[in-house]
Amino acid sequence: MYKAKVIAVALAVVLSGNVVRAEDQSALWLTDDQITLIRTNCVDVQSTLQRIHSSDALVRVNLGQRYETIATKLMAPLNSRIALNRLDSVELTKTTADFNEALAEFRTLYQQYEQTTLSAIEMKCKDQPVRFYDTIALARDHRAAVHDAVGKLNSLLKQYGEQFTAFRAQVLADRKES
Amino acid sequence: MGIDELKKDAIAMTKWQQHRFFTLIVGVIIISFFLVSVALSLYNSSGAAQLDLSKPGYQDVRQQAKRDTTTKAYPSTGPLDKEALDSFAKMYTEHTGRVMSVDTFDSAALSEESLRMLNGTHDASSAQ
Repeated sequence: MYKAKVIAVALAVVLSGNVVRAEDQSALWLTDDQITLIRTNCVDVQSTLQRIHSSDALVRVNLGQRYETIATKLMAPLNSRIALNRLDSVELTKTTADFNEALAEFRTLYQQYEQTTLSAIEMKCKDQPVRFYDTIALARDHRAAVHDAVGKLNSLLKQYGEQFTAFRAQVLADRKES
Repeated sequence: MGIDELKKDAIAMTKWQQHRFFTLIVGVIIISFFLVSVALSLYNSSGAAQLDLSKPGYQDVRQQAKRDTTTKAYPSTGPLDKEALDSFAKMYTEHTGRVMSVDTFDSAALSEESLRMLNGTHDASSAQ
């Protein structure tokens, strides 16, 4: 019983210590002058964020739709057609599965990024300048993650294209031989 | 039935019977609040909120969203001859070209230089 209490207290101390460090990180970095500047500029920053938020939503809608089209109207039907013709398409199928997984990850990461940006836009930044600064730093990280997810999707598209070119060459060569 | 009989009936009613219409209205309101809260939480958690350009903040960009209803699907049946493979190659190049040609979600948009949050002083990280 005594041991459990000690462990619980130690755990609470360790966890609370982490939280305090995380919250105070920016407060340690930012000088009073910088905090004042954030307080002064934050409404303009929120207005810029609002514009970025709107244009990002448009990019998300259009880009997501294009990726969906490629996955459902091109990749999946080709894989089915290859299978129906009893040809080997293991690599193409695997890349399609990876692409769908990366697309789901992109959706999740964008959702995370959008919510962080929205919280920065809706925040009372004059009252909480340090928290506002931290939220924007977090939004930067989330945006970088979305950028990476887009890069991964594009590299999978390139990979699928290369695999298809190799598959096409193989099929046409086999047809010539037979 | 006279008014006296109605009054007698009303007195004979239980509390529940006397207030059942009021209870019905309150019940309907509570159920509708519950259903709306479930719908809103699904709207937010499913990612639909991020795709909804009908919200007030998106008037400027709403017109630019393109609904892709014209793209034909590649036929999932049929022989895989040169013509079919070339047709796929053409469609694939066309569609991938549209998404791969633009650099989206670049970090510059949220950079300190772009937002100018600490305009007039050093960058926060250099003030440690």
